[in-house]
Amino acid sequence: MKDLELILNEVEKPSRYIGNEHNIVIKDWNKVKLKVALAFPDLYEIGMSHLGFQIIYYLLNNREDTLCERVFAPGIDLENLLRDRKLPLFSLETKRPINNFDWLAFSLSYELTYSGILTILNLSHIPIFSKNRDESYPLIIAGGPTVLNPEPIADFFDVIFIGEAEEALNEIIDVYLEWKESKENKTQLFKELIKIKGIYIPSLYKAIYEKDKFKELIPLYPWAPTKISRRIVYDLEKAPFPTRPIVTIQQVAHDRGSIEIMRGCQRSCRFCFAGYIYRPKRYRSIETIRKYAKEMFENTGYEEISLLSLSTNDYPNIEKLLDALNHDFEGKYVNFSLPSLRADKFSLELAEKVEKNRKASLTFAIEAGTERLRKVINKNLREEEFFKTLDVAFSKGWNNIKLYFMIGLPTETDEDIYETVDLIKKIIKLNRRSKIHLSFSIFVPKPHTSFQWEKFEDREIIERRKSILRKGLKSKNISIDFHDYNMSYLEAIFSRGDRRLSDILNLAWQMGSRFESWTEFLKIDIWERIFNDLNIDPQWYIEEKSLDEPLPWDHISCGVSKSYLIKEREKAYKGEETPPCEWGISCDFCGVSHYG
Amino acid sequence: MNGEYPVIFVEYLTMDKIVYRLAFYKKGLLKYISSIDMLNFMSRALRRSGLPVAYSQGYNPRPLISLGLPCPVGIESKKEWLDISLSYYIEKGDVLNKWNKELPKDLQFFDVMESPKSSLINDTYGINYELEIFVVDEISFLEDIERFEKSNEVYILVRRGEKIKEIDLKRHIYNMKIEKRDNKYNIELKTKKIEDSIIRGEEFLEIFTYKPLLINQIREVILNV
Repeated sequence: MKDLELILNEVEKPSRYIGNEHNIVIKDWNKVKLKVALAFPDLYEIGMSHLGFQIIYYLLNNREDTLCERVFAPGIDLENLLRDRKLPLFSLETKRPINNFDWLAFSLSYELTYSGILTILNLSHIPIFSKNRDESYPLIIAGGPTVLNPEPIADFFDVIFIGEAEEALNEIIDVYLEWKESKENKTQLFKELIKIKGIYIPSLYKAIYEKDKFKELIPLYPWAPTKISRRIVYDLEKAPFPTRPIVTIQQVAHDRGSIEIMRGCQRSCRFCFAGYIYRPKRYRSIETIRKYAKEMFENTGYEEISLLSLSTNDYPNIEKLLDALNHDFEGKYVNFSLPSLRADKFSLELAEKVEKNRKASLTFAIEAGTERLRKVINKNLREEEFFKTLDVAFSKGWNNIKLYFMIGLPTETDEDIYETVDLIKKIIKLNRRSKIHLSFSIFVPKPHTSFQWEKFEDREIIERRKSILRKGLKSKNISIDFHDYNMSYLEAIFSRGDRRLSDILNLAWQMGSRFESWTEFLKIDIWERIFNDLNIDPQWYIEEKSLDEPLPWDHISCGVSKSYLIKEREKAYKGEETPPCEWGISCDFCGVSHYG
Repeated sequence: MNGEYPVIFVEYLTMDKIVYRLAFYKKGLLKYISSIDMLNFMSRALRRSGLPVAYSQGYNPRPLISLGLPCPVGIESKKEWLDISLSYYIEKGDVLNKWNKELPKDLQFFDVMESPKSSLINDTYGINYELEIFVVDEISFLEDIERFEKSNEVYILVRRGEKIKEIDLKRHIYNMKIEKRDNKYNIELKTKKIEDSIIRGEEFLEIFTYKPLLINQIREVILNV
């Protein structure tokens, strides 16, 4: 502990590493069978903001025979100090070296955190590649949304879990513990684990390339399954949920409680990764949410509780839920926040219910500035409806509006961008006192979506469109944010990447690339140099793909059929909309089952 | 108040609420909590405790808690004070116990009083420091100490926010004890607040020709009796 204090005195933000938060779980090391270090490969303040991370922490500690402690990618200052003093990376709960645990399990939710995996492994004195680890090392596991294309990180992990962990985790632990008793080798463990739906063991396969392109993934053993299907929880109501989450001491990115009211989304936006991989839409009942909110407040003291879902408006009876929560929390000084509101009038009613007398700002992700383009991406929003919404919002005193857009969308032309400029000007005209904040991200084609074959737009085109926007929207009422092109470029490469990227990531990491999702740390020249040195053309990862081309994630299924994705893509090009999915009322036959 | 300590921590307390003044220690790794995080940390624990904390008015009501002179990151404290307002009377021992249940063992309240007369900053007399240091050149160190003791005034330059200020250490330090322990020295300083300005423990080390290495610093906030 004294060693640790000497180090912490020298780092910029020691509070990231002190543990001691309210609701952490510390168990007797000698009284459990399985010890898990749960890792998030980004800084503490990012990792602790992810609900998925807290859910896994809770699921693991919920088992009497299992303990789970946390570890995050340390800041560069602490990384250097640990190396200099030859100290291993430690868990936050008991400051134990990570390589003392049975499992090191990573929660992965963003491709640009992948270098953090290598930092954590290396600082824990664990070999980075799975082929170099025998039974004496912890089992290295990954899960989370981005592993639906597991290939770019396939060489680092022993086991990758595809899907939602709530049910499967217990099965995995049981199999593991039985194997541990048996003292058999790792292959024996893998043989047993692959019987569990959702388990993918990358080392059982070999990737084949032809003319510099991915060709296929072949199983090395007859018992390795050729298709891995995503595992999900069908009854969200019965899924365990942490109403006693860890309350951080230092401020984090999302410094509030979160209750997941709904999982999945019925809107079928064609670019949206979450919209495809979390199908079908499932939700918790009003009574359960009220109970969770009460428990969460008592266990955390949070001033704000966020009601998480991909599309709040679509929660059945959302008004009734908000009325009930307002009633339950009368006089308790708790705010409820609603992310992902659609830009319609109903949203204003909902926002009024949660904001009461305070009119902070309204945020709408309208994604594209023209109706034509919104039809392409299936973001069903009519301009007329949008303006009616704004009209009401302004008349009720919401003068601050935040709008999220994407640029570089399929079929987008400069004309769409000029029309976006006109749209914003029209808003300002409507209300001269309005403050409009615009945020432009760059479209990244994601696996398992209808746009998985699309190209990631060229730098020049994006820069040209940015400058059209910048020049056209010079006004004191407007502020504009553009996402960094290099960052999206790297995200695009890794989103649709293959196994060759494991080597590239390792080399970039060795050359000092860290925290690629932080503008101040991203060094794109390192990556360009490595692609060049290894003679791998990054263009292959970002260009448009033909429909019959093998894709590196073809062996992973999230339930949505490829033929449905192709059909949706065709509709996109024709500007045809797909109505929201309502099981039993309006089904578009995507292939996902609503029952287990 | 000078630039060093932001005014945001001072909430003015109204008459119809009951004000309690509590003392707590913070040690171990909790010494790394920053003063901004401390306010949130204390507020959430208080909200969990179920105590009837009073809130500020306005669009963004906050629990009425005010911390005194903020304790810098990385410094342990034997005694820090804070004021809270409750909307109705609770026996002071219960206030302390209920709140403590929501706090980690390295940060606990150990003293409480009701209805203080003035604001915490006003009621602060000064801060005592224990500095554990490693001395390179012992002879020079002892000479510096002797010179300090004999002088009537010793000016040093300190940073206060954006400004550099010249302050007289002799006016602030009213008692000093030095003790040798193994190969280290222990300095105990009793300092007083003058015109809302205080000195920080490590600033004392400015008097030395060869600056000793500071190993640990513990502080204790003293109130007017």
